[in-house]
Amino acid sequence: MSLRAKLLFLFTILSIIPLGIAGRNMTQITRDELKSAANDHLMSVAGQVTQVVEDFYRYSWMNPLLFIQKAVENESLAVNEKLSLLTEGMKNAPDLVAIQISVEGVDSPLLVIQDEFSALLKQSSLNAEHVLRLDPHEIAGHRNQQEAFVGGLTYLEQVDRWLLTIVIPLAETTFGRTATLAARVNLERLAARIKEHSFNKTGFITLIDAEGHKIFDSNRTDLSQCSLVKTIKELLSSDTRTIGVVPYVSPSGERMLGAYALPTNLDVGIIVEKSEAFAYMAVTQMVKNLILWVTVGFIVAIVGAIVVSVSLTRPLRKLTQAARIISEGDLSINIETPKSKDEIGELSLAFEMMLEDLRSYIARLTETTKAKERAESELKLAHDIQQSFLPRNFPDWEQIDIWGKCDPAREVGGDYFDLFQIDDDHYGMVIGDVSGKGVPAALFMAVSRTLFRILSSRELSPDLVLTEFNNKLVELDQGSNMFITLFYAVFNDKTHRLIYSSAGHNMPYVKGSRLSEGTFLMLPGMKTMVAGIMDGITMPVAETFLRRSGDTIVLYTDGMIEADNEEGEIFGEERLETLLNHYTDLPAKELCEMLIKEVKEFQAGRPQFDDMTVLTLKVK
Amino acid sequence: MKITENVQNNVSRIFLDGRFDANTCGEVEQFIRKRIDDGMHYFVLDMENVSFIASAGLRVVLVIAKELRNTSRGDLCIASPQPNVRKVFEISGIDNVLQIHEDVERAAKGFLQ
Repeated sequence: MSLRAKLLFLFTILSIIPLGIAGRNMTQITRDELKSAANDHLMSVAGQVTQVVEDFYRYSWMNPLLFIQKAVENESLAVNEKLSLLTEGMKNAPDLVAIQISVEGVDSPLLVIQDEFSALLKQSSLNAEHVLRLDPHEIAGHRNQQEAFVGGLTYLEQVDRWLLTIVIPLAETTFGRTATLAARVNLERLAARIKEHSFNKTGFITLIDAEGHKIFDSNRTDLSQCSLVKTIKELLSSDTRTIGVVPYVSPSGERMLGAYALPTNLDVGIIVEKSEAFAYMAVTQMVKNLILWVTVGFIVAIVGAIVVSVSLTRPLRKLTQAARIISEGDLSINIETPKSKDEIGELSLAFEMMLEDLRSYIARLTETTKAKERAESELKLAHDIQQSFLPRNFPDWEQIDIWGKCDPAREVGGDYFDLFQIDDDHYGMVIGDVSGKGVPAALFMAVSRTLFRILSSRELSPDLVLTEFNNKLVELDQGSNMFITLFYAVFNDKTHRLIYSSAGHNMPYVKGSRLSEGTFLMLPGMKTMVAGIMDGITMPVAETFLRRSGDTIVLYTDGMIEADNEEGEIFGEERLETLLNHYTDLPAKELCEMLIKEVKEFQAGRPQFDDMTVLTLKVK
Repeated sequence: MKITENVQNNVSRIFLDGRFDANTCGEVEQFIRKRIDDGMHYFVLDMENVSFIASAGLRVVLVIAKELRNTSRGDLCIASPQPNVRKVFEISGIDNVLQIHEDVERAAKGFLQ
């Protein structure tokens, strides 16, 4: 997970948690508040409707009826007066569409019908008297000595009117028999009034009768299976009058919130209901708002997080990228250091400094490498020049087989050998080793070689050549303090005499008649001194003979005997001597090569410190 | 090359350990030159532990000895060389120019006289 992703994740968590908690709490609180407000509203509407019903009952229906009752019962009034009062009373009570006074034993009761209603019925070809007259048995059934009966709800389908029946007992004294005052009440006004209620805009107001049938509904829909209606039915039958709120599921499956109220005196239930969704619409709205704002807040937080994390990680990314580029070896990139003074700014600065250091380091290194390469190529050149001083083609002399080989060390060494014919009979062979290595040694050798060639062409005896050579070398040298060891031999192929001299050089091995029977032996040491250090030294001289065919002299430099192996053992003179005797019959060239090969094998991969040179003269 | 020094009576005894060849002669030369700069004039090079001396080593010894003799009337000598090292001194004839002693004490005494 990248740093950027981590930061984003953190910011997201930080923004979601408080928003989520706050949102959830607010929704909860509001939902509760709205719920209780909705409940209160429903209850209050239910109460209002109940009040309307009760007011109708009391003022529009019962008061006029009681007035009529009083008039009818008044003994001081004549029948005419009573009738006119009855008619008057009906005029003042528009809801009362028929008044019927029934007296026990009298077949036809007195029935007064409101003109408007009568006309209405007539329009639908109904006989008003037939429709509105109450059966005496019915009246008798409703008659109650103490109280008025209210009920008998009827629906006149043809005219779409709801009628209620009120039966009031009349005092026996009036007619001397049991008599009743009955009225048919038109509920049209009540229905209209209820329909006018503002609650109808958001919910439903339903009135039901004691059987659970819907009132003011032409279908008389049976709601008795509805849980709320069941409750109301129970309450109606128990004569308890109450008000309450119940949530329930409507037959259509909608979640509803309903309040019910039961008016006194009237066996109807009032249901005020709203769909829960509608009641809680504000909550839903609020939740929607909240979700919207949480989303907005979240997006803002995410954008902020992206901005912050990008601004934090961009320099880091740049640095990472830069580091990658640098690791690939490209130091030419530029790091744009952010101006911030925070840790990232410091890091960038440190990084830039590191890059700067690296650049200068690489620059220095490149320069040194170049210089080194130049020096190495110069050294190689010096090495090649030095090698070119050494003879590569060996003359095919009549009686002498002569061969030399120099195996140079990696660096420029100072080994030197030469061979030349001095005159008809005399052949010169010289081997030498300049002190030290490198270009100075090579230069010193070049000087020595030239000097030696000049001197040896003028003078035959080796000791005189070396003595003069030493003096000249000291004279030429301007404080380099370098020296050269030399072994110089002159062979006369007529006399087979070999005269030799040495300037501090290793004594060669000789297989010759005078010394031993067919084995190599080192020539005896001489009192001598390296050349180039001290002048005025008389170089020694000695002689030996190489008479027979196969007699040999082998000159070598110290690189041959001082080569060492892994165990630190030095090759040494004994090994050389053994090898010489072993390869005693080989021609000069093969002998030289074999010796060098053996020494190299002895070294077995160890770096070669010094040049190895062998020069062999063999009598044919 | 391991180089150690022990100074007694103004004589520096320098103990060399290893091969004294073209690769190591620079160290020895630098070491002794520094001691000369410090004011030393007499040096004994103990070569008991020198397994091998090359011509470059010989040159260093010669150069230093020559300088000491010419400039500060000092000197340098060799002590207790191994036979093969002694042989190199003899072959090259440098034993004619430099004193070679059996041991360090004798070499140092030689200077005091």
